[in-house]
Amino acid sequence: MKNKNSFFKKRFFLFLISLICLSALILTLGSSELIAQKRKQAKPIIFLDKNNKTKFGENIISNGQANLLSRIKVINQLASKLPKQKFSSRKIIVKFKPEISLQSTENILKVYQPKSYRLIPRINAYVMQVAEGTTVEETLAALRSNPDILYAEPDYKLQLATTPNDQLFRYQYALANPGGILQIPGSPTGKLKADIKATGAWDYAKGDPNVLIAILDSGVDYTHPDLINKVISHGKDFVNNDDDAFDDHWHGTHVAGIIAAATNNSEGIAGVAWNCRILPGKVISADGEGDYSWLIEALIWAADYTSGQAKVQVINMSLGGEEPSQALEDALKYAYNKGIVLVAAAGNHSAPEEPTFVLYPAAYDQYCLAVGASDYNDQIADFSNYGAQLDVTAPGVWILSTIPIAQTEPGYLPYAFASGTSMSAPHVAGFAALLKSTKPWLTPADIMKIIKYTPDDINSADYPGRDDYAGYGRINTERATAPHRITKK
Amino acid sequence: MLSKAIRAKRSSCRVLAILLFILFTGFGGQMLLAQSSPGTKATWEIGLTTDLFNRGIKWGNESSTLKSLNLMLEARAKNLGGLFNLNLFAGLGNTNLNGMVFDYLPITLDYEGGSISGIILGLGIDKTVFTASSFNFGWMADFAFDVGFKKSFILEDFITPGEAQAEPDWAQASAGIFVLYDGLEKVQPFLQIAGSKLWGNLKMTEKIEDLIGGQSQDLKGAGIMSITLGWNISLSQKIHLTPRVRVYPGSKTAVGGGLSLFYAF
Repeated sequence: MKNKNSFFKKRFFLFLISLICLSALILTLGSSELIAQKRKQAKPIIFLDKNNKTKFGENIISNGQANLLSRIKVINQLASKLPKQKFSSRKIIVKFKPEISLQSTENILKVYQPKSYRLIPRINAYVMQVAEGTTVEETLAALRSNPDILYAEPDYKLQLATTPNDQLFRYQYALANPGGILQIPGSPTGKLKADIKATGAWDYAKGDPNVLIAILDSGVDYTHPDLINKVISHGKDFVNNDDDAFDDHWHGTHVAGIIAAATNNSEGIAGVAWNCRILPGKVISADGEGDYSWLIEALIWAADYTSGQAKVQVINMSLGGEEPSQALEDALKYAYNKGIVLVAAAGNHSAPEEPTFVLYPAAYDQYCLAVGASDYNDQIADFSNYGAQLDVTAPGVWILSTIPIAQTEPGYLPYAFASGTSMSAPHVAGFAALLKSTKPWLTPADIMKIIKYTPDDINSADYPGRDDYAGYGRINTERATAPHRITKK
Repeated sequence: MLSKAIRAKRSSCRVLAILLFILFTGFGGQMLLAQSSPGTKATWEIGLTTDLFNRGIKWGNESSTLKSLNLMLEARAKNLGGLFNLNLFAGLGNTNLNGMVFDYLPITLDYEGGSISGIILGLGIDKTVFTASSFNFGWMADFAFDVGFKKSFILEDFITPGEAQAEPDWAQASAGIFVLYDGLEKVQPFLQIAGSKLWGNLKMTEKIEDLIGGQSQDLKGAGIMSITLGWNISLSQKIHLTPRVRVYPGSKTAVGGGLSLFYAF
């Protein structure tokens, strides 16, 4: 009997423990589901309606939060500051004449007692660190007097092409401008269809996942929900010399979102090239500065990159420097000759009564599309650099895009508005990727011409045709991708 | 694509050569027979034919219709060499290939430019094999080809106006059987059922500044058969009229027809 009692006690005890465990489990699951639901509701969502027009706020309002805009950061740091130095104080780019053998070149280099040197493949130029106790200028002078050397140049500094701002915008007007009063602080009036006609182009081209767009910038936050499935690899970091191009600035992530954020997924923003993927290359440091040599190496690396069927077809460079560089031109030529469309920002230092010019690499007209910035009224942005090499403009004022999660302040969404030709260039890069996806047989020269000959001439009243201020005009993706109807007239 | 066009042209030439061979053989036979039996001399007719050629076509994975309004001079030799009847025709064709899309060009073009003039040439032969009551049964074959002229179009909406040029070429070969009823005094209805092959292309070039592209879009008939119903109507001893209706059944069926007025001498 005792045994029987203890048996029942044991069973009751086990039953009780099981019941407690089950309750705990249910409570845990329930609460975690609640948390998940809350998280889901609090997710930074910018809905796309069937016309792909952005509509903000529905979820937030249903979650009892008043205004989503208050949770979108405005980039107001001076990211486009001019570099403190024009070129690196320790590095030089040097190339020997083709008849000099590799062994000889290294022996000659050692004469100058470099602290280190490395060869940039394909263009056969060296990046050397000058000897202790000598300056770049002294070493350059010595190298240039050597008859075996084809060229020796400073390793110029890159700058990001972004203009500071402190306002918010409610829509991605750059893709589909609804016109009228844009519901943002200041309530500016946007011009209807002052946009790149992306919704029209998407009827014919949404991009190919095997078309990669290399973003040579400050890296990309590949954990961002709008980018996580769009980044093909962690890329390469030329600043820290490793295989992880994670963005410790914000600029590259912003550029990546404009080009190819996950689109039509009821979340976040829309990218220009829906289905194309991103390859990040980090050439800009956390401080927002970079060296030409990093860009040159990144260009070669991106041009050679393949992964299965996927290969780089477009390279976006939302950056530039004021000085020309033979090595940079050689690297651009290498990528161009491999069938890659090169797109670069014109720069943001235009000011009244001051001479302005298109930055390098954008100024290498033969190989690179130089992109200036326009706004929501199809006016040329006052900061946008201009010159004979300017090819086209694209919206670059108050552009909404992704920013790194790690740099998102509490209570903010991982999206921000920013301005600059840096934001214009990715619209063109996405456009080039759409063209390359639908017509892979087109050469970079063909694609550059299509982009140049199909825009809307936004300043035709003053400067009909191509001019130095808007180039050929603001890009029109629909005109280039939709069939052009030949009629009797 | 270019090689396909070349192949199509070569095939056209071959068919033409075969028909010409038959023609000359016919003439040769005619001459021989004329020497041996003067009673078998051919009779000749000339006429004017207007014809709406309308046939479903396929190009790439798409389909549309080839329409051609043709105005032709026609010469017909009946009982040539006691062997067969021969038709020769030549005239102006107006080929309409609206709906063709050229997506290989740098800027995709959708052709809606209407008719393009050209020269149409061809010949046909037929022969009655046997007669049962008032029904004549026989075989027929014909071949026609159209060489279109270049037609230019202005491409508007670009930074500077561009230009597109379209140039169609097509050919058709048919062979089949017919039955003709000659039991009526002035009207001879007939029915032809033939296997029919159509091939050709529309060449398109575009030029916007230094952006230049070209594409030859190959086309073929949407079906392999034609059915023609017609009537030979004698208006007088020497003049007669031949209206006809032609159907090309297939994945895109189209109906056309024509009218010929002949004078016999």
